[in-house]
Amino acid sequence: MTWHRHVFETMGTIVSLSCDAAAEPDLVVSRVRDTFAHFDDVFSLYKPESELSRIGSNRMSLVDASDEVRDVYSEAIEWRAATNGEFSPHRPDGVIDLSGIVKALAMNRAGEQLNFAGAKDWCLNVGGDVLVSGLEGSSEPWNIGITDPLDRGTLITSARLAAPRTACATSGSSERGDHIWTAGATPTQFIQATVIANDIITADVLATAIIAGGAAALDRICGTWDVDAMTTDLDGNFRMTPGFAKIPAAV
Amino acid sequence: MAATKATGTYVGSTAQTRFGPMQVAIVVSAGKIANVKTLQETNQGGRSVEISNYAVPILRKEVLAAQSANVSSVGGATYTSDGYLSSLQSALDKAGL
Repeated sequence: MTWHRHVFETMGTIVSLSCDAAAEPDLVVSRVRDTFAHFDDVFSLYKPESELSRIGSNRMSLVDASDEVRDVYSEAIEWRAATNGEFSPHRPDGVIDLSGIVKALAMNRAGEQLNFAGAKDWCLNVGGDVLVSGLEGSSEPWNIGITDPLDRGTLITSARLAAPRTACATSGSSERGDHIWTAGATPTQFIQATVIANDIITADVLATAIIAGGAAALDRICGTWDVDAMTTDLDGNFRMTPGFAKIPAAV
Repeated sequence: MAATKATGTYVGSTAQTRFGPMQVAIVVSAGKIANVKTLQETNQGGRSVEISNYAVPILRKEVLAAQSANVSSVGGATYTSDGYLSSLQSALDKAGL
C-alpha cells in the first residue's frame, strides 16, 4: 500500500499527516484541511472577525453565539470543574479563550474525517500533539518521540501508541505556553508534561492542567484518570507513571 | 570498568509522603530500566501493594533512550509555525520517513 505525507500550516502551527492511501488522498487531505480551517475561523482570537473575537471584544454576547461555540464553551467549563480550575477557558482578564481545547477538538474531528474517508492507518501531528489510528506501515505501532524541553534537538524517550491509547499531548511552560493560566500563585514546577490517553481532548487538557497545577495536579490526575504521564522539571528531572515506563520504547 | 550490565529488581528506601510510606522498585534488564513499580505500605501488617498509576521520579540517565531514526512522529510542547522549521518533526517530514 502506498503512503502519503502531507504538511500544511493552520492555527499558527503545522499539521503533519501520514496516511495510508486506502482513501482518495486529495479528498482526505482537503477534508482534514477544511476541518482545521473551520475551527480556526470560528475560534481564533488572532482573527478579528472570528466569532470568539467578537465575543471577546463585546461585539457579541455569549447568548447570541452559535450552538457550536456554546457547546465548546460548555465542554471547556466542564473540564475546568474536572481539573479544579487548572484548565480554564478564561484569560486572567476575563476574555473567553478556547485555544486550550480547540486544537484538540479539531484533531478529534479530523480523525473522524480520516476514518470516514476510509483511511485505516494514519498519524496526525499538530504542533507536537499526536493522534494515531492503526499501525505504521500497516505493521508496527506508531512510535512517538518525546522532545527534550531542555534540548529540542533531542528526544527524551519514545512511546508506542496503539489502541486504545492513541493520543499523546504535550504542554510546556516555555514555548506557546500562553494558553496556560496557573491556578493561583503556585509557581510552575514542570516545564513539560506529556499525557497519553485514549482520546486527544483528555490528553491535551490534562497535560495543560499538570503544567498549571504542578506536582499536586500530576498526583491527582494520575490517580483519577485512565492516563499515563511524564513530566520534566526545571532541573531536567523526570517523573513517569508505571504505565508510561512500560510502554516499550524503540531501541 | 567491567562491561557487565546490571539486571534485576532494585527496591529503594521507604520515604514518608502524604500518601503514606512509599517505596519505588525498578526492574533493570541489561542496564536499562524495564519497569518501575511504586510500592506503598498498607496498614495491614505492613504488606506492600502496587499502586496502579502514580508518577514517580526517574533520573535522566535512567530513562529509556530513544533513537530519533526510529520514531514515526515527534511530540513536544506546541510549536509555532516558525518553531516548526527547527523541530525534529520538520526533519522527519523532509526526510519523508
